[in-house]
Amino acid sequence: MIGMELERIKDAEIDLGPLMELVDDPELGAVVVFVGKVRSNGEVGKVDAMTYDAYSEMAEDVMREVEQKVMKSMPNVKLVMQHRVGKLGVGDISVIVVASSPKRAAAFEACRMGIEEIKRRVPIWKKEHLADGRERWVDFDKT
Amino acid sequence: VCGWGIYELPIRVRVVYFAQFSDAAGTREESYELPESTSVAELVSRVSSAHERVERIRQMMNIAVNKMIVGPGSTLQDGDVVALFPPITGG
Repeated sequence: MIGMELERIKDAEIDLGPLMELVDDPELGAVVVFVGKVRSNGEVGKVDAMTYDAYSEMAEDVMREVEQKVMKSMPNVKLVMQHRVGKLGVGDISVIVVASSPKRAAAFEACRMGIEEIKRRVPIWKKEHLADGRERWVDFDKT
Repeated sequence: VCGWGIYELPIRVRVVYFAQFSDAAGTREESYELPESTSVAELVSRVSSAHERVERIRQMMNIAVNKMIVGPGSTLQDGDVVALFPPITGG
């Protein structure tokens, strides 16, 4: 496993640099990065901020399991993912997924699998803080 | 002589709430003392009785015991951590 010490769920800013280092390998020439940021247009109006709540202990396990599953199914691929929790402002980075492989096709595919599995399986929820003062949890079927 | 086994020994589980369920319960975490062999469904009924707002969103409840998603028929053990949360929305 890569990044044994890395916290997959973090309540502070997440940085691309250390994640890039974790998938770095002289034989892996293609690196694909997905960065998710808080956007200003919510489901029902303008968003000022977003709070991410997570069941951190379970989320850590599921994220490591997803990385392992992808790397097992795709030899020569390295994948690492990190998600931020707490209250984030518009434009703040909430999630980063980094995949490396010898060639680009596998790196794109692994990165896509990583973020899709986060959306589907990792116990994280988000609450919109709307510009008009309202707060609402984002529905699971509309993300 | 009163034999062991006549009385059910209580078990203690920790219930943790996330997202809408944390709001509805008004807390992040509680402890429940239950009879041995209590099912997840029975615990959910206890929790719903204690928190009317949890009862109202019960149909969207997902349950994990010790970080694994389970169904209502699972039996609880002493020391289990039971998490109640809505469907996952991810990053």
